[in-house]
Formats: sequence, C-alpha cells, structure tokens
Amino acid sequence: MKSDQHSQTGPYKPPAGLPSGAGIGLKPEHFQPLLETRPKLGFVEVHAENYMVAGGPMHHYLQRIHEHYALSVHGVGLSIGGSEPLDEAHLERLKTLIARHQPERFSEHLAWSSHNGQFMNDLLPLPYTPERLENVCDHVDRVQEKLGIQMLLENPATYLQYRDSSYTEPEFIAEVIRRTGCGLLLDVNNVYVSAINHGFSSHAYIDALPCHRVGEIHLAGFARDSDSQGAPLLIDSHDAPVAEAVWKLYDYALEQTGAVATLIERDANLPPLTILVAEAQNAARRLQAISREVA
Amino acid sequence: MDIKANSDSRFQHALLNPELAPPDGVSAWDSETGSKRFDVYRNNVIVSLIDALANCFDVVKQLVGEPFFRAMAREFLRDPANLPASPVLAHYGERFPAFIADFEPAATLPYLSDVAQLEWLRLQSLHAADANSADSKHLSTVVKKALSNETGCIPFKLFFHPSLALFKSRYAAVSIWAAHQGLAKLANIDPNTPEQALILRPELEVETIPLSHESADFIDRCMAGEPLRNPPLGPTLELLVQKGAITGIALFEEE
Repeated sequence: MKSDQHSQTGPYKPPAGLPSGAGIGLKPEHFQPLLETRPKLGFVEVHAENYMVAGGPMHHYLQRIHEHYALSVHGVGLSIGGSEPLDEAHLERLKTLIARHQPERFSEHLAWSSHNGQFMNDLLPLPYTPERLENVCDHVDRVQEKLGIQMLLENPATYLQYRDSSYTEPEFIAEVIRRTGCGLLLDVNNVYVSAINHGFSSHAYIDALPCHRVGEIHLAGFARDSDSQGAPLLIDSHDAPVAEAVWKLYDYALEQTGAVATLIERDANLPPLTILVAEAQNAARRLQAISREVA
Repeated sequence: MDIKANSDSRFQHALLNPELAPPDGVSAWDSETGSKRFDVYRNNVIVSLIDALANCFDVVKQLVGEPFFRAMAREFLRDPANLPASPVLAHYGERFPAFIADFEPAATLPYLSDVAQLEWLRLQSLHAADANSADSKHLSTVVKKALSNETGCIPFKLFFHPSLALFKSRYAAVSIWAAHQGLAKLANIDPNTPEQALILRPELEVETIPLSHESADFIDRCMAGEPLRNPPLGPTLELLVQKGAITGIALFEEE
C-alpha cells in the first residue's frame, strides 16, 4: 500500500509559524503606507511568484516590512493538484525565495495551473480519484522535502466537479494531510463559494476536515453570478469585502479550529490600506473572543 | 494510454479553445453540463493574462485605448505558444512587441512595437539583480591611468549594472513613452526621428535616459565587452559614472 509510505505526522516541521492574529495580503500599492503608518497586524502574506525576481523594489520592501511583521509566503503557481510531476525549476525558485526571506509560513493550493509546459494563471479543479491522490501526495512530499519545512495546503473554490471523483473534497484533503503530514489552510470563503456552487452544507464540509491541522485561515470577498440554468454561481474574485455570510461561517470554523492566524485576501479592486486593516481588526476581534472562550 | 494525464490535457484543450464544449467528465451538481461554469475558468485564464500584459505595456494600452489593447492581447493569446511558460509573470510578455509589429490593425502606429519593447526592457530592469555601483573616484583614477599611459592608452573594459539595457528605435519611441509620463508633449514629437535610450535601475526606480546615436553605439561596444581604447566619448562615460551604471573596470595591462 502506497499510503503506508507516508507517516501519519510527517517528518517536516512548520517554520516558526504565524501568531494567531489577523493579517492582510501585501500589495506593492501598500508598501509605503504600511511602513509609514505601521498598523497593528498579526502578519502579512505575499504571493510567492510576485517575488521570484532577482532584485529591485519587491525584495527591498518585503525585507523592510518583514522586519516589522511576520510573513506568510503563499504560492499560486506550483500546480500541486496536477497529474504531471512538479516543475523542478519552479520549486528551485521557491526554495531560493524562502531561503532569502525566511517566512513564518508557506502554503499552496489544492489545484493545478500548469500543463504541457503552459501556465494558465488560474487555479483549476482536479478529479478526486485514488490516482490523483497519489499524484498530490507525491507532490506535497516533494515540496516539503525540497523546502525542508511543513507546508499548508489550501482547499479550493470550484465551479465544476468531476464525475469520476470517488472521494469528497474534504475526504481527499484529509487523506493528503494524513499521508504527507502537511497542514491545512482553511479558506472559509472557498468553502462558502463551493458550498453554494455545488449545493452542499458548508458546516458539514468543515466538520469533515481535520480542523486540528488548520495552520491558517483565509477570508475574502466573492462575486455573484448565475449559471446557464439560473442557479446561483459564486465567483472567488477576491475583489470585495468579506461577505456577512462568510463572517458567520468563519465564527463556526473558529469553534472547530480555535484561534488561528487569519488573512484578509484582496487581489483586485484594492482599497486603501486603512480599509483592509479595519477588516483585519474585525477578524482579530473574533479571534480574541474565541481565545477568551477557550481560556 | 495515460488516463491521468488525459484528464488534465482534455480540460486544458477545452479551456484554451472557446469554440469547444466543456470537457467530458466535468459537471455541476444538478447534472447541468456546466458550459457557463466552465466559462468561468476560461474567462479567468484569458482575463488574468490580458491584465498581466496590460500591467507591463501600459503606454501601449494608452496609445491604442483599452478596448483595442484588450482585443490585441486576446489575439496574441490565441496562439498557445504565447501563453506563459512559467508562473513568474514579471518575465511574461517578451514575445508581445514582435507580435504587435506584425499585427495588421495596428499598422498605422509603426512605432507601437518599439514602445512595447521599451516597456518590456523597463520591466526587466525593475526586477533585475541588485548591485553596487563602482565608486566614481576609483573609476576616474583608473580611467586617467589608462588614458595617460606614455605608450598610448591602455585598453580597458567596463562592467555594467545588471539592470542596464540599451534601447534603440527607428522611431521617436523614447519621446512617445516620455510623453505618457508627463515628461514631454506628444504634439511636439516627430514620430519618425530615430531615438535611443539607456535603461537603468541603480536604486529602486527605473530611469530612461535619452542618448545620442554615438553614445548608444559606444555603450553597445562596451556591453559587447570590446576593449576600449581612447574612448572618444568623455561625456558618455561621465553620464554612465554619474548614473551609477558601472559596477567595475578592468585594464588590459600587458606585462
């Protein structure tokens, strides 16, 4: 059995880990205001691929900002969910980046984005089959081996499902975590978006995940559309404030996970820094409430 | 047959060919074939890559207008060879200037491809490796030594900052670009005047410095590693030193 080759806890330790506060996604537009105003934030998170360049302002500002804030590096291009072997050149770039900035966290997606040497710049869905489970576990093993640290794997937002999937998504994720020892990045917005798109219970989905393995939570905004049958279709657009329904689901998730580092993700329609910080403060208040409950 | 690979290949094939139906094997929860749902992925791919090109080629976008730019970028992306080969989008778009040069509907703007090339070089300069510029006193001491040698000038070689690039155009592409930064007036530009520029990022900001034809030729020869003898262009050398473009100098001293 292939699964016996994967230890239950995993040989890789997480990097230092993020404080269980609230953070924001870091965009170049906010480099200067962040350094000038230094708002209270638990951490900042960057997309790994935006910093895979030799030098210049991206590294300059990231280094200065990391002197004041914990850092999470979030990959969007490793294609861990694909059927092809990982792109070793890309993995090497990732290793270089992590060695340079020594982030407190590294995470990637359960999705694929490259195939046949072409990068499609989107997080594409995969079939949840035994064969693909082997691929994904091999990929996560390879990443952790190459980087020498534990990674977090993020649950995806999807618009379609594969008919030959034999695992549910939480079953598939739980099995990857069990076999590879990686942690879970629970994207609460993705759970909400997929639950609406596919008609499942978001609470049941979260209940089926190994919530004690959650190392970080993502919150974001979505866009509303409808499919060709007129059914609601939510798009994981990261271009709006966190929706009220997603805040509610976040509260439910926190009851399962306890206080966990939480990110406000915003990749488009970027508001001023103060607006994002206010959203992070909303998450921070909920985190404090959970900590008090536990204590 | 590799079934696993085929699932991603089928998905990718349908993704990149909008006239095709969604691939077999995917569906929505209510068994709907999911054409509009599949289109979300198609749209994400194309729109995000058009956005990436629009970020890099902002002046090209301003010159032709947003709708024309997006239509041109969409045409560019119809060729699978023009998709990114790597997820590092800071280095995506190298083939776009050449595509523009051959793009019939843009033929009335013959300088458009060169403006695109200038923007591409500036983006690469922005993200190039950092390096310390050579100390100007040290440089002038060595250059003086080379020039004042009794038996004639000692040939020497300059080492340039990794962010340095030389740009040459048959058109006034530098002025046209500068006009879109508020640095020149578009109305005063004769687009058919050949122009050259030095592109450099000594610190955090990319500079675009107009050059004479002679200065550009001189820098071209320096960049090719040609040993310099009696450099006739003191002012060009001075400019390179002053801008921090030189990281080192070596004399070809004969024993």
